[in-house]
Amino acid sequence: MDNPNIVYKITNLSFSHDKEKEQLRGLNLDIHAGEKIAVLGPNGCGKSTLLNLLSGYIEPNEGEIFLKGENLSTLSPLERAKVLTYLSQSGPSINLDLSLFDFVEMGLFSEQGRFDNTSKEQRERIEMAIALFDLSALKTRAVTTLSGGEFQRARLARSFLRKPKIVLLDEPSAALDIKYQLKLWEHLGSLQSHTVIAALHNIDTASRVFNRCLLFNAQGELVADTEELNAKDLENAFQVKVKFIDFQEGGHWFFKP
Amino acid sequence: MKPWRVVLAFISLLGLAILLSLTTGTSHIGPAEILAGDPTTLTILKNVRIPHVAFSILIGAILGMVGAIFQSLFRNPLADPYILGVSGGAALGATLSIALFGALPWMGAGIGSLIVIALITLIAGWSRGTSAGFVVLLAGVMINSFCGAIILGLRSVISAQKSQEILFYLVGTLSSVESLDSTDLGLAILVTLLTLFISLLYAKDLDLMLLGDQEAQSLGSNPDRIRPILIVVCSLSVALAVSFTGLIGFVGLVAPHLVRIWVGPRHRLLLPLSGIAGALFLCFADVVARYSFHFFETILPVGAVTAIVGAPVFLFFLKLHVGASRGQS
Repeated sequence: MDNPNIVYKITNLSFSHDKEKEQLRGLNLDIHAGEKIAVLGPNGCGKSTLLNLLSGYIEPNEGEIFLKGENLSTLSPLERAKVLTYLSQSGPSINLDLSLFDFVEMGLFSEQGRFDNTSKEQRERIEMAIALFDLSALKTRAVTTLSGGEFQRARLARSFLRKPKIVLLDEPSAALDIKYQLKLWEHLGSLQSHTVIAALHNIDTASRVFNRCLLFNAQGELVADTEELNAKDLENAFQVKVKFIDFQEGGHWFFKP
Repeated sequence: MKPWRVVLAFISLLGLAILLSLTTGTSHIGPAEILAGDPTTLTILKNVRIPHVAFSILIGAILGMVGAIFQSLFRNPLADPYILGVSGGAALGATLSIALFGALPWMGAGIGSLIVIALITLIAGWSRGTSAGFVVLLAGVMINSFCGAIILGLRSVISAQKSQEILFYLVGTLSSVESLDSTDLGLAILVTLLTLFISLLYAKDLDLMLLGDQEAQSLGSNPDRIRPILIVVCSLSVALAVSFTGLIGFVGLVAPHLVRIWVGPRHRLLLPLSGIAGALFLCFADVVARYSFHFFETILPVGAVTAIVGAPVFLFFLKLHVGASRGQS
């Protein structure tokens, strides 16, 4: 009998885009409901690949991923979208005059029928999601005219429009200024019962906001699966010198070549 | 502008176009002539004017909707069944059917259009970068030239009668619909309604596909399953249009662009309104083509009229598109 508390069960997972380099190899993991997991590692180690696999967008070369006991590859995109929300790393390139409101509204696809109109309640939710990232004044603007940070906030608003219990985020703070980074971490903290898995570059954020860290090395091997990062694992993964300095307001990791 | 106002404006204009189309031609027919019940007038109406109105609306609607769908599927604002070569493939298929079997042009057109769209889809996969759109357009131009050349070649080696029959596929004319019967009309209505139904059924998926396949999938759509369905239905609809009227270009380019200006890119409004705009464009073009009789003592092919309007519009949007691509890089 499967443990009902396990959201993702990953067994012997390997993936490579080409034969010469494997992004991930032999990964075994259980991810439990309510965990906040940071995925860390150097460029090209497979962080985005892992999230693409967990979202079901790509399938593993070897091994299997079970989502709440069901093999992920047997679920349709619609079935997956109903239980998880995924913010991929690269935003879409849009060359049409789509308004910010319409862009966020598209996040409702999985909960609407093909011929359904957006209800008053859904409309209010869109307004709230837009307001959460201070975009209300821009809602009629074409997304093509937004700055990089504004567009990322619009994508986040769309991701948090619905409340699926699994949240996958690939570098969600990219292009955000400090204010919105803090707002994002605060919002993630408020999602108490949600399982959040995010690929990140900021080690301090990973330590403070997330309660479990998966650390990969450049070869795509999992070098640490821990609640508390240590200097040795970080040096091993990033191949740089690392030092932790404890301040009164909280600790910081320092890196030097 | 409020969507219902745009719908009302388009339908009113279509009403005007229908009225003009019924009254304009080699001879003027006004309400007085109709009320007088002159048999010649009624014959002209029944055999010429009404078929022109009906088929210009149906074929224009098909081309307008398919143009909008192709532009979204290929994420290319310059796509249109004519420019992509799908119409050319249909024309070649129809021509081959007539040359080889002396019949079944619509079946040949269907096969021809499907072969071309499969080829275009394959070519689109060659280049995934920003140049992909241009690769597809260039391929479409080449396929059109290739199909045109084979049709011309066939014309010179087959009998004079069949050669005449084939010529109209290259020209694009609504005069051909005067010889069509009620079964053909029924088929055209059925295909137009099918295209409209498919458009509305997948309107939200097409919205998501504007964001790219990964985004569309992560939001719950399934582009890998929907794209082939839309491509096959659209190609067969275009094939039917071509087998009735030959190569009429640019309707599928002009209509959706015109509509987007007022209602934006969401497909639930864009697709049916592109159908109405396509119907409007072709109906007006047919009026111009028939009115030209008063200047040239011959009726211009409607394909020439749509191209005279459409080619500069294409160049205008090409300039916009090039500007936008440069801005992105």
